[in-house]
Formats: sequence, structure tokens, C-alpha cells
Amino acid sequence: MLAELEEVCRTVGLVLGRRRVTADQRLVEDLGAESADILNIMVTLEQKYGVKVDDTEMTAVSTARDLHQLLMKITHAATPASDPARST
Amino acid sequence: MPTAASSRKLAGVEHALRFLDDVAPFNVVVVLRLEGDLPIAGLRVALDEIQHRHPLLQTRIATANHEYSFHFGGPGPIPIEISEPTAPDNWLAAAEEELHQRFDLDAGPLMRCRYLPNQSGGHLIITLHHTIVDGVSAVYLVSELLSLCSGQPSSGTGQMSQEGRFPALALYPPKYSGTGFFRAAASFMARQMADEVKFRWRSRGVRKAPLAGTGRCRLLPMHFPAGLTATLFEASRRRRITLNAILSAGLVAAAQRHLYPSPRAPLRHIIFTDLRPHLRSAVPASELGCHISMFRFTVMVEREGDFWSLARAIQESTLRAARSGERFLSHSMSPKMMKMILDLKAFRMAATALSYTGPLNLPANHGSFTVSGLHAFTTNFSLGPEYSALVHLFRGELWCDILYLDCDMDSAGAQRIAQDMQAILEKAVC
Repeated sequence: MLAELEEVCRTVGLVLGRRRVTADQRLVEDLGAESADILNIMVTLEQKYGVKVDDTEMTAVSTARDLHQLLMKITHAATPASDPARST
Repeated sequence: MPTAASSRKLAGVEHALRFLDDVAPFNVVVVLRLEGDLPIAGLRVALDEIQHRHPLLQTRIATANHEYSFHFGGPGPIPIEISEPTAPDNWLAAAEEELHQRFDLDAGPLMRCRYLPNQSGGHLIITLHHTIVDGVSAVYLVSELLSLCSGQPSSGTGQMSQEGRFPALALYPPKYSGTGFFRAAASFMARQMADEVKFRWRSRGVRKAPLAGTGRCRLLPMHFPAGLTATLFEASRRRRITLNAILSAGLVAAAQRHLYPSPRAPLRHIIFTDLRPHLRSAVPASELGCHISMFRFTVMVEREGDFWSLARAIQESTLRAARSGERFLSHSMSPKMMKMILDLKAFRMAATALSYTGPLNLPANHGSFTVSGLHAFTTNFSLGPEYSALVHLFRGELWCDILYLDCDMDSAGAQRIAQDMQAILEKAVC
């Protein structure tokens, strides 16, 4: 399942108790997220999209857009490449 | 670039650390375990370059009329000492020496370097005065230094003209500045007093942390194997409890078992927090500076109590403190608080303290050498916590650098607490 940016923003908003979160608002600086909130956001998204986010990669995440990009990267990496022998 | 005449007063935690430096040198010591050949000529060039980039490495601290000021410009080059080849284990004694060796604050610079070569590589020990660095910027500085040493393109972006020009206090969000600050400060003081009364009431008949005149810091490095580290991360996700709270619970529970004879004791615990992302204009990790604060709270610890209830209680206390703006108030009030603690000499700040820096983005490979380990230690003093730890994630393992005072316990006692901390964490997650 591919993550949609809007859905990621909605999840961030739900966890942080915010009605509206835009893609470029910063989780800590603008939305006041604490480390426990970031953990909650990460786990909620992991469960929703069936992926596993590396903690080291999370250090580079600042906004919902960054989160979306990270999820897309993980989802693409997890999708097995098509077998050229079968692609006729 | 700041001119030679430019200066500014120390404020908040900077001021408190400078003030405490008269009691015990307040240094940050980072130890890098290197494999391969560190180019010494490259290290000298790299030190000169980072000093050129960072105004706070060209700084000294002047004292006049009980006030402290950073004076930019003037200090000589960052000193470096290269030892004769030595046994690999000798780094610990050298790191301990570095922790206790005072900087000449009036002269600067507030950084020095020492290299202890051994057969397979060596240990590079970087010492900085705590007033100019925190965990986040120390890691960045080390990464910058290693890149320059090996001639790789550095992540640095040239001279940091704004570095050190403003204290964190000048960058507080509007809610905690002006009249807002006084309202928040009054409520902070009321909460602190309520916690004090609660702590004193609950700790009747319970052991009190000893008050010694002096104490020498001792170091105990340990690291959790990759398997335990991975299991701790999984447990953190499954339970939705931060690693900071989990590690703190392990530390607090182990300290209670070994230091407090009663089956149940209220313990004061400190968690350090990074102010940088919470300031009005976020301060990047590339800028040196001591932008930290602390959350201090009381938790009831039961010898046979449920580990996860304790971890959750620590997380909730941390969140409560964070949401009430305690990071700003504690930061700005730390000079007064430290002065009071030193004047009264009646109680210890806490039983335990933990600072979790998180995953370190420090490349391991630097051409002719690799970084195979990283330790970090910060000075404590005899009225500070009895047992404290700096923890970070490096190469898939949690590195836990413990610090205790020889007036509180001997090395065997400190080892027993550390081993028990690991055993408690293993039992909780396995």
C-alpha cells in the first residue's frame, strides 16, 4: 500500500491532536511534537502501511512531507523488482 | 566573523556550568576508537580549519564582577598532544584525566585534543568545555573534524558567523519571553515546590543520598550487544514508550536495588533535553553551543515493581514537564538553582540522570582509518546525581557511558549497578 501525503498529514494531526497539519510544517518546531509523539506517529504509520522505519532514518525527518518521502522510499525498496525473464 | 573586541554574557545553562566549573571542571570528553592510520599532519590542519570555522573555538571566558562573558577572538591554536604508543585499554585513564583537567578559561581555547596510538589504531580524545558544546553539536563537530582529517568533503559550510552570538534565552518562543516568562516561571516554581514537598513526605525513613565535600568522577563504559539493542527498539515501538524512558527505567530500577535498602523509594531522576529545535529560530547542530536543559522529577520505584509501569511513569513525567515548558524555565533558572544547591549543601540534585542522544550520524569509514567506537562523558560534581549515563546508538549498538563519583561507590559497586541495569532491561524485553 502506497502512502499518500494527505493521509500522512492526517495521521500526524490525529496523533498530535491537531485539526489541520500541512505537509511542510515541522513536527517539532511548528507542531510542538515531543519524542514520545514522534514515536507514536512512526508506529502508527508503520502499522498502517506495513513497513518498518529505521530509527537512524527518522533522524532526517523534519516534516510530514519528509515522512511521506521516507515511507515511499521504504515501500519501493520492499517491492520486489519484476523478473525480466517473465516480462514478455 | 566576530571581531576581537566582541563579547557577550553567558546566560542560562552556560552561566550555571561556568559557575560550577569553580567546584569541578565542567568538561565534555569524547573518545573515538580508531582502526588504521590517523594522519597526524591532517589532524593538525583539520583542527586549525575547524577553529577557523567556529567562533566558539576562538573564545575565552572572562570574569568580572561575578559576571562571565565570552570574548571572541584571541586564543591560540587548539592544543594537541600525541602520546607514545600505548596499550589499548589506557584510554580510560586518559579520558578520566581529561575530564578533571581544567581549561584556562581566561585564555582559551576551550577545546583540546589528545591522541593515544596503539598497535591497531588509537584513541582520539577530544575535550571541550561544556559551556560551548552540547551532545548534538559535539557529534557534528567530531564528524566535521574526521572528514577534514581524512581529506573528505566536510559537511561543514564554512564560517559560522552567528555561532555563539546569542544565548538560548534570546531565542525562547514568545510564550516564554517577556511577561509570559514570569507567569510561566511562577507556575514552574510552584510545581517544583510541590514536587519537593511530595518527595520529602514520601521519602521519610528512606535512605538519603550522601553529601560529600568532594568526589572524583569515575568512568564506566559499557555497550549493549546488537541483539539486545534491536530488542529494546522493538519493545519501544510495541509499547509506544521512548527508548529514553526505557533506559531511564532500567537505570533507576538498578540504582534503587543497589543503593536503597527499602523495598520502595521515591527517587529523583534527571532527563536531559535538547533545546535547539524548540527555539524561536531553530539552532542547527552545525553551530556549537550549549543548548540543553533538564527535566527533574520524582518517581516511586519498587524493588519488585513492574518495569513497564515505571518506564511509562517516566515517559509521562517527561511529557508533562515538556508540555509545561519546563525545558525553558529550567534552562533559564539553572544558575539560581545551582547557586542555591551549592550554598545550602543540603541535598543532592537527583539519584540518577540519563541523556540519550539517539542514533549518531557519524560515518565509520574515513579512508586510512575507521571509527569503531565512540564514548562520551560529562563531568558531575558531589551534589549532582549519584549515578548517571550518556547513551547513544552507534553502529547498531547502544553505547552507555556511565559516570559515578568515588565518594559514592567503588568501581565494583558501579559495575554491579551497570550489570543489573542490563539484566533488568533484558528481563523486561526478552
